[in-house]
Amino acid sequence: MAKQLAIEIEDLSIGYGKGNKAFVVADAITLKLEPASLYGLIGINGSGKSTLIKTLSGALNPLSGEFKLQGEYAHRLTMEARAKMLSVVLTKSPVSLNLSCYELVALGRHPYTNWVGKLTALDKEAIYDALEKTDLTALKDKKCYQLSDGQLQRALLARAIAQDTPIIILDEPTTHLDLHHKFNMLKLMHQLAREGKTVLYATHDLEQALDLCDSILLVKDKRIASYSREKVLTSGVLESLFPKETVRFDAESKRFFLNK
Amino acid sequence: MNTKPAFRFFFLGALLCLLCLVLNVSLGSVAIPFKDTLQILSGGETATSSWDYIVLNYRLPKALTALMVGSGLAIAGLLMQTLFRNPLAGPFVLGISSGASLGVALLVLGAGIFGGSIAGLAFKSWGIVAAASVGSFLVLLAVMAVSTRVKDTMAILIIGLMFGSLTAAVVAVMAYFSPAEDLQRYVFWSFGSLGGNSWNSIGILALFFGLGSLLSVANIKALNALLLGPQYAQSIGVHLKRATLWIILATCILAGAITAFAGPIAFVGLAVPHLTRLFLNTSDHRILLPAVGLSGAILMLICDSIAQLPYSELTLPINAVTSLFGAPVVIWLLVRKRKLLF
Amino acid sequence: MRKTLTLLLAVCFLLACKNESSTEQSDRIVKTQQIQNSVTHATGFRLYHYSDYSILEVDNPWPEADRTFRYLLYTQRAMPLQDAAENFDAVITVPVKSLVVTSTTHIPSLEALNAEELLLGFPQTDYVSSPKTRALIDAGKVKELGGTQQLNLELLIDAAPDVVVGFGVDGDNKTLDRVQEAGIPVVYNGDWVEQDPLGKAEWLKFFGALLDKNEQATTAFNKIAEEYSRVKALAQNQSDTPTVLSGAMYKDVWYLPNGQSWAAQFLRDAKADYRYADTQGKGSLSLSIESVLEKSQDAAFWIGPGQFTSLTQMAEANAIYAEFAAFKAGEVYSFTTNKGPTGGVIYYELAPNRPDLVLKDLIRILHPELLPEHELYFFSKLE
Repeated sequence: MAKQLAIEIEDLSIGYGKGNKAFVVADAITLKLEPASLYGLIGINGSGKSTLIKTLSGALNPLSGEFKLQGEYAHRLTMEARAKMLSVVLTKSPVSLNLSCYELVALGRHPYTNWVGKLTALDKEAIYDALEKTDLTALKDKKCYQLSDGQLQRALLARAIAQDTPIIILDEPTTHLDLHHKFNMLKLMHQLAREGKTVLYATHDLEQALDLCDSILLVKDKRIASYSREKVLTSGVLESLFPKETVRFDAESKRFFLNK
Repeated sequence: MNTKPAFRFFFLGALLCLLCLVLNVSLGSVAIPFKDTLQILSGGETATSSWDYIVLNYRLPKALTALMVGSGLAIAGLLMQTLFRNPLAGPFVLGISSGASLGVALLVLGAGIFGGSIAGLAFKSWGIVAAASVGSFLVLLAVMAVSTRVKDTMAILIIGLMFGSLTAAVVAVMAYFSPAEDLQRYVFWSFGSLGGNSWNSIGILALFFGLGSLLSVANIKALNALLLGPQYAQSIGVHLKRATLWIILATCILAGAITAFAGPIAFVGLAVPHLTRLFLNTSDHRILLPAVGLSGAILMLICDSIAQLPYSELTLPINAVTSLFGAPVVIWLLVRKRKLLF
Repeated sequence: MRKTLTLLLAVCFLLACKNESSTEQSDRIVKTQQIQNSVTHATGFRLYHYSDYSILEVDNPWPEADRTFRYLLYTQRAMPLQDAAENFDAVITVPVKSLVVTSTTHIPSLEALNAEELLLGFPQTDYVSSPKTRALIDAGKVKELGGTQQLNLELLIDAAPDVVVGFGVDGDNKTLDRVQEAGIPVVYNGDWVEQDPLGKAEWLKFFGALLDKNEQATTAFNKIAEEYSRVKALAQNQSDTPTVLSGAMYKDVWYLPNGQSWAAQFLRDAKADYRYADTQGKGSLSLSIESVLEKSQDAAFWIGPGQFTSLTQMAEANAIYAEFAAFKAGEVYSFTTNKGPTGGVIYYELAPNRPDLVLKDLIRILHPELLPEHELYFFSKLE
């Protein structure tokens, strides 16, 4: 069963800056991410989750090392080729709220349209499909400033779905949402993974991640390690994730408690 | 996505533009009857040969200048607002016009201070256009360079304003040491002027305008992508650096050439994109870009007709008119809508 | 070899001979027609009068012009010169029946030649003070051609004058270029560049040529020149050289005329001791208040203190003015206070044309005993 790896990372070092003045956020990263899987990226604030996401999406250059997307070396890909492999959903971005929901999702078809951005029948189908999946069909003509936080976040996910990429990476997609919107997003991401995509998302919602994800990527002390859902509970890494004086982890219930 | 209202807008807009053009050519200091104007425009001659000359060689070039200036500045403004994701952006606010002014000041005032035979007559129109374009390009490059380090677009705007102040200060120092004639010439240049260009100059302006517009149209897709912000734009396949550079180039060509031929014209670049967005209720550049170009042309033609103070020998500087009439309109519209659609 | 060399030499000799004879030919023409430049004092233009036409050459009508404008003035259409349009900047039939001028200094020239009725229009007519032209303006016969500094192209073309007498400040004369394209000849007048007092007045002959009133112009100029020389001799032949201060401050800088300027030459001819007489340069000198105070505090007379209209005004503007000896003695004379009915300064308009009056004024101020009956024309004592 030689399934092609979605993302293959080999001894990668990520961070900011150049040469001697480089600030290393994490290094010696070696990971293999498979299709049809949901990966949760967890770690304390500032540990490097966003840095990894920026590096994988191409917004940031790695300090050293390489990684492959769909079997191709990422740095050799054109912007357009990469856009057909990997799409992102970010928390806060200066998105123009004057776009209609439909227009926002339609921008996901950018890598496939002609020089002026005309939408073909195929493109329109992909857009409607994405709107259906995220339950936004009724709201498609509303302007984004008329959508609630949860609806907007779903719209951004719909946009990524319309981009029709085997890999979707989300940076804290549930952080500012109400509980039911949070769960809605998680449900969607789970569903997308089941349908065959590689979904990687950074999150602070550890308990839901432990529940849903096929693997957990843990960022700690400048290292990123991958744990299967079973291994992560038995390895004891979660116990030492937070200061013991304050937080206690119970492996059986898979919950964190305040250490009173 | 509705295209019917868009087509209606363009059809009516083009008609209105043509109307404004004819109106602009009919009004001026000398009272030429409308009938005669139409006759001259359709290739005929009238009894008074001076009228033929005035309409064909003074008013018509002026009207075409107004058209290109209004259209070009509005497009440049739209490009800037989208690129910097900031509704306050415009060629003036980001210091581009100041850069062009500095370029021209160095040529006009600098020749007087530092001496030199830069003042060749034939060189004049090319020289000023080149100086203005180079000046605006350098300022915009500086703003862009700064913006790669500073992520906050508000900070970038302030930096643009600072560049504007800087160039104004340099010009002020030069003006302090300049002989009165050079200074006066620079001051009057800064009032803006649409008239007095030969057909030759119109040709050169048209070239730059065409080039700038073409570049803008070629980047419609990238501009739409930029509506999502730079990070998203990159993720859907936009080569950020390349797109940014092309958009900057288009802006410089437009703003630089226009400032060279007509002086710094305020307000149009900032307001017309907003007015058009409010009117059409869209941010899609496929519709917005040509719409903004059309609106800018119409606005400028009307402002110039007003500036001519028809039937009197006085004229107002075009800069004053654009701001005097335009600013209240924008204020009224925003207060009514209570929201900035951007 | 030798044969070819001799042949070569012979050909060269023949060619040389040919060249010489054509130069000789033009010399001959000049000598037989005895054409001389009829301008004696001015350096900015030259006039050559032939039987049917005149050639007017204007050098550098603005400082960086670096060129000469040549104008062909026809008195009759008898024998049109071939290629006239290519060799001259404008070809004009004189006398012109109507014209537009662009500087107030042109107006007195028109009036001196009784040609003010030919004036069709003028930019910013409010600046004109000369009474005869003023009357024409008030009667609506002279059109206002531009409220702003720029000539209104439409009105100018509609007026359709035979010629426009323009002036340039730099190379950018967009409006005048358009005027020429419209078929109206433009002749550049550079009187403002001229620095010699009599030279400036001699530009009257420029207008004389356009109006075909050359003898009148020459007579009028000679009269002015004679009077000027007479009065100058009066001043030069006595030994008194009173010290003179000039100019005033504008925003921390003191502007005054440089030693070679038109204003300073008057002072020299009036036998005044102007402390900056040795300076040179283009335009005004800009000095600090300290250096002016040091050099000229004790000057007996203050001629031309900028735009001030009274001593109190000066003291209020800057207390330092009161430190000057001339101020304390009340010997401050301004030429900007004498204005016409619509606010035009008479000095700016008439002084370039009447250096004799300017000199008389100065002598009256500096050596009152020489011209006791002369009443000040341009200058007023500030109170």
